[in-house]
Amino acid sequence: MRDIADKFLASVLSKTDRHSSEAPLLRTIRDHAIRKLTPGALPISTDESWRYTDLRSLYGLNLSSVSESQQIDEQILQSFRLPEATDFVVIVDGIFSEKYSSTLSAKEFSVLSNARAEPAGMQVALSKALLGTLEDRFGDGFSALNSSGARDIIMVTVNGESALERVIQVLNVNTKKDVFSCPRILFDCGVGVEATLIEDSLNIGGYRYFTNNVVELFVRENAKVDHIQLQREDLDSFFISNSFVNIERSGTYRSWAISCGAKLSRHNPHVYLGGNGAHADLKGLALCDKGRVSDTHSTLYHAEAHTSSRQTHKNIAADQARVVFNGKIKVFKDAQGTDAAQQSRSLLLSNRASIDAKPELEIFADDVKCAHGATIGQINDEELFYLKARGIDDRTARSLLNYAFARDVLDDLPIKSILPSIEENIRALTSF
Amino acid sequence: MSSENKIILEASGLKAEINGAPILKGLDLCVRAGEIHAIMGKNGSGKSTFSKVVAGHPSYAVTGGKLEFFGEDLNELAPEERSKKGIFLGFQYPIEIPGVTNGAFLRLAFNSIQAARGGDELDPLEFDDFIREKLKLLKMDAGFLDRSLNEGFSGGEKKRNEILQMAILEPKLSILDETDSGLDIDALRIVANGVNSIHGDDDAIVLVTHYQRLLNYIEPDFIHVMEGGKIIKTGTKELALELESKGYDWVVDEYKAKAA
Repeated sequence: MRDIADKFLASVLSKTDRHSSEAPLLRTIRDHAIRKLTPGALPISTDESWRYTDLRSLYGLNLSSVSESQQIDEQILQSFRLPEATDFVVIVDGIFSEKYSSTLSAKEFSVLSNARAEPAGMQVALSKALLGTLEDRFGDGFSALNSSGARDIIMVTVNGESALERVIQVLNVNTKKDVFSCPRILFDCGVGVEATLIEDSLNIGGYRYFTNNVVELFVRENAKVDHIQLQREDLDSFFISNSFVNIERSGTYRSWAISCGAKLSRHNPHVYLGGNGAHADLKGLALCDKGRVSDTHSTLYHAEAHTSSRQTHKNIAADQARVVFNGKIKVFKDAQGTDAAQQSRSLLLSNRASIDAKPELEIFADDVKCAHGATIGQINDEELFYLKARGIDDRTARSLLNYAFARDVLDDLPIKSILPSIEENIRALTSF
Repeated sequence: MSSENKIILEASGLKAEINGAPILKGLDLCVRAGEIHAIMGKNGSGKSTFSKVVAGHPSYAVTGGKLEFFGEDLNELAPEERSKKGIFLGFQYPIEIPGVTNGAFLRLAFNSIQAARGGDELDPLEFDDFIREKLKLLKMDAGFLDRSLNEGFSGGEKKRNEILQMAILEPKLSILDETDSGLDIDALRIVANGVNSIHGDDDAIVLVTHYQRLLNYIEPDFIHVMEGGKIIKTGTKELALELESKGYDWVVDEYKAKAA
């Protein structure tokens, strides 16, 4: 298997669209990543963190990249715009689409690109200093591949100058067959500022492709970021996403990662609690049916004293689906007073579906509260009978129970307009 | 009660088992429109099993005899079909379902039954008006609707919530399985008043209970004593008083003597 992984890596690198006019910083980042991407850089099943997820079906693909942005029916795109969004950023096949985006001011928003001159200004200088720092420190082969291949890097700085609380929706659309795209976002939420970032990944056209997503997110002192990641790709697609989050002193980061689609999806949230009193609240929901694979490997780094984290991860697996959850919590030696609680709950709707759930704690401090729990169960027959005894048909009763199971992940979701789409995905899960 | 009234439920020689263990061993019971029946008996006599068998609980298998509802064989019908036809089971232990709000559940149940009867389904606003009237009947406040179904409800609240469901679903046959257990005297009165106001000439009620106390408030036409998976004695409401003072053993002895 090592052979096909290396062959895949070489092929993807050779097809990356580079340009003599690429911005100098982009060149630096790409060259640095390429130096790391030597044979063996991409994982295979003998790697501990990939032992449950087989990448052969991905490595067997012959992929290319897109150098020009596609025309898309604007009405379709607008239909995905969430009413809560104050800013709408559209990425098509990995390429930032200015035409379809309505974006923040130049002070807050810039794009590092093949096709553009390198942006300038003070905010941009700050963003540029941050770019790649988290990826380089916490990333893996796939995130390095994103650094080497991201065509456009979206850089957002929310500095609180605008009275409006920003809700920035990044719509990541794929439209072409056998293409690999590397969406990349840098999100910097300034001191004391509150903002929401929504990443919404989907597919128009129903093709097979590979999205290799990376977001680097900086939560400054006292800042508060809500981060929603909605993955609703079609059945043929491959989706790998790395989220790197740094939370400074007294900052709060809340995330909702909802995985509904893709043939194979893998999400690696890395959340670094890097200042006293930093708090993270991670919620995850994996809805998985047919022969899909949905894998989440999260890591919470409690690096400083009095940091706290809450994590609730729910999985529902139907048909022959395979769901993996690995929740790592690292408590560093100096992180006294850490308060971490993780729970994962999984619901199996079929006797051919499988779920692997694993908490993983590494604790080096001695004054620490670390709770964790994992349960795997099935639909409760008594609950089902109770609903049916009130005239509710089998299918409705089951989807009601599925929804009830998922509900505590969705209850405090700040962006309510995505709920119908999630509910539809829950209803689509049949349980036999 | 006139024997001319329509038969709602008829069981004859009914046998049922769970996991291969026989529980009902030839039960006979005939319930007509307008009637209230009480089934009494010791723990383990099969009372709750009978309730669940009528409602169609999948863990129980009917292995013999006849069970008909308005002349139709119930055996092949799923629980939701039975409910749509007008069978209601008030649960002894109402199930808690966190994450499903009581109000949404009640509306879904109501609309399912309405659709089956060809009646009008109600949207959330219309249902809200409708349910508020019914809440008054059981002296429940509207806060109940926003809570998760039965989650964290006290024993009395759960039982009132059962009768609330009975009130909105307007069943033809209500089997109330130990609806009186765990109720204080005030709650018992509220629940009993609720049941009495729902009951009419076209429907029937079967109370499954240990205690005579409930029967002071809901007056039955017939009392049945159940033992060993059968009904071994049937009488009028005076029988309940006798059972209360003398226990069940004399009925069992009498039955055994007769059988010998």
